Amino acid sequence: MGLSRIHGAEGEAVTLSATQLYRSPLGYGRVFFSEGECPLKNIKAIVAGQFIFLFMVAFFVFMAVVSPQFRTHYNLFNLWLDAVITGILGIGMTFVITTAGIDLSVASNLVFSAMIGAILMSRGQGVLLAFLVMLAVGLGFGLFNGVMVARLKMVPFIVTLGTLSLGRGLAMLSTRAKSVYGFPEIVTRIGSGEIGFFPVAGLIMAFLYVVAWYVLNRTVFGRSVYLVGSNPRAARLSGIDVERVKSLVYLVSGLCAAIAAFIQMGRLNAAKPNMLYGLELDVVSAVVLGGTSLFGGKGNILGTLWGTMVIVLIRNAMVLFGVSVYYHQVVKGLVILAAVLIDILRSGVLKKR
Amino acid sequence: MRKVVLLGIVVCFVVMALGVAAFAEKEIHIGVTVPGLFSPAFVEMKRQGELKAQELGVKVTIVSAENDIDRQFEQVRDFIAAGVDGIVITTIDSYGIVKAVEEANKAGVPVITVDRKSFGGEVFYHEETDNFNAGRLCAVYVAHLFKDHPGPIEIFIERLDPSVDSVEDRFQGFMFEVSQWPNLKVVAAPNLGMDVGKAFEATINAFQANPNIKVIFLPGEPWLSGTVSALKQLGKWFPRNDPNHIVMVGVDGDQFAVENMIEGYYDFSAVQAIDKFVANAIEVFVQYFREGKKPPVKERYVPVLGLCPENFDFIKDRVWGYRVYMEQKGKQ
Repeated sequence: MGLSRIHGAEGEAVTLSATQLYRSPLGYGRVFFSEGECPLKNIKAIVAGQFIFLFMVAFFVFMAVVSPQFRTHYNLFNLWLDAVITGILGIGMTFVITTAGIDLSVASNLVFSAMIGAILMSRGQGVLLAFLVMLAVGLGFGLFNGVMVARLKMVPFIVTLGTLSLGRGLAMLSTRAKSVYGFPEIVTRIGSGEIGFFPVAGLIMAFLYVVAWYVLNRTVFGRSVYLVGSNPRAARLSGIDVERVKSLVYLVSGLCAAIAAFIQMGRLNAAKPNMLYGLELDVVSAVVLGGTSLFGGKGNILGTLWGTMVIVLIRNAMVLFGVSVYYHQVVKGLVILAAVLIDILRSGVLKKR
Repeated sequence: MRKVVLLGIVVCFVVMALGVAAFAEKEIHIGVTVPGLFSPAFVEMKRQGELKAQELGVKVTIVSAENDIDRQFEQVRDFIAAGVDGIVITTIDSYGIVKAVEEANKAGVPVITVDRKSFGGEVFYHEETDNFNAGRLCAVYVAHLFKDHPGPIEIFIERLDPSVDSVEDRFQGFMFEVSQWPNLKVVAAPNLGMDVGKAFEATINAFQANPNIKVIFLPGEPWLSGTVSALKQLGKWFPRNDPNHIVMVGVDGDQFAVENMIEGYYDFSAVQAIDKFVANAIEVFVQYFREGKKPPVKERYVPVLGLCPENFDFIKDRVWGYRVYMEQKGKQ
């Protein structure tokens, strides 16, 4: 990727509130600069803007050098597949967090959708019908969250904490806490099959990221998401239906949960009501690690993908290096904290300019 | 110039390290995944496994799945990628783990399951407690205690995750035996999942709805502390010689059960040999990899040991929970 290309063909300056922002083709690095100035003159600033991507690449290269097992096709395939569920949920979460909201119910929504789909398939219903019902369940959760947050002005944290519990409870109730297993081959092929060297689920995730990047960066709705998150008052004065935008981002999150649920079923060829406990926190970590601000207005869809990859890489590295189980959570927490801290310090370089 | 020298030194070190690694004799590497370290039984299982690996001179990597079947699936895949020689699994879900076992089969990595089964895939060796009879033995003890009582003796069961076949088998064994005794009656059996807080809550709720509960059965003892706290709050925490005593029986034989038995509050524990499961699995693998010896049977169901105050002094040294309890006491 040539530097001139970033500035010329792909680079775009937009005005959000009173701030001049720059978006690179990688989606990351909304570099602050004064009008007319080319940000590429300062490589340091670009490096800072792409920090999490560079961190991920450095980590990847390091692992590839020190661990022969890491370089195997099986492991690389495995890494991609492991990133799928967190990655897809991260798409919806990025939309939500960019509007200064949060969706803690994503994993519960996923599990409940999966249980409903699993029950339908185990009773002989077709895959398509089960998938459509799962989409309806996922979107239903999203709609409920959206209405509560946008229309009834409830705090997103509390609303989605409630739906988190509701989803888990309904999932448990649906089968009295028992697992459902054995789905049609098409489901397992989508969840864990491959096309050539690529996992099917990984390709679906990649496609969803392309769509999400386009929506967030190239559509009026995407711009509205940023503006609603950074300055809802200004958004309203600009004629944006703030409540509608807020409702829609929770719908996006619900949709992502339903799609992830379908993939998850195929991945294990089983659905269990208490699977993926605590995944919502991994998703939030990936999103924040990727550069999306919890205070809204600053979102970065590809950053979420890199953040997800960093989390997956850490987990993989600890198993490959045989790190004691007691250190796993500690190491993961420290690396996330260090990455965010370094990112903040690097961003400071940008703001001083 | 200085930088070039430094870089040269670093490169030398890296090359030396890679060289040493390449020429070192390939040691046996075994990956172990346990459901979580929330239960003292799994902590002890891990510790005994590490000791056995040390004794036999093999490398072992033990990971915890934090009670998430998806994470356990990922861990098995990570082990395959890491090139381990064998994988030991104590699964969270007997159906959910099938795909992971099949993956290992495809990669040619033998799998041993312990404590809980995989309901599919090719398993090299399986070892678990005779769970059905462990639950049954607890009910026999209760029936024996109340053999002259006309009934109904109300029983509260702290049922754990029904999708975990081992604890479910204990529940089924207990229920089977209870059905043989007309004076015994189960009044509540809520699902607690894997949460000590729920044990507390469920006990409070059960006693509010059924104040005459006389027996509590715990298919797994790690949540005993929650139950004890609830009984204390309810004012129903009495020693065995008190007529108001609530009879407590369970499966595991962990240090909490032992401690409460020593203090005179706990009645019966069906003690598992769970602490040795991972260690045994490592031994089976080492014999196979070094000598080509396969285990004489593909599945082994280990009987439990009935521990009660009456036989405590005779068999305490064979109870893993007693050993852990004494070690912890020694540290204090």
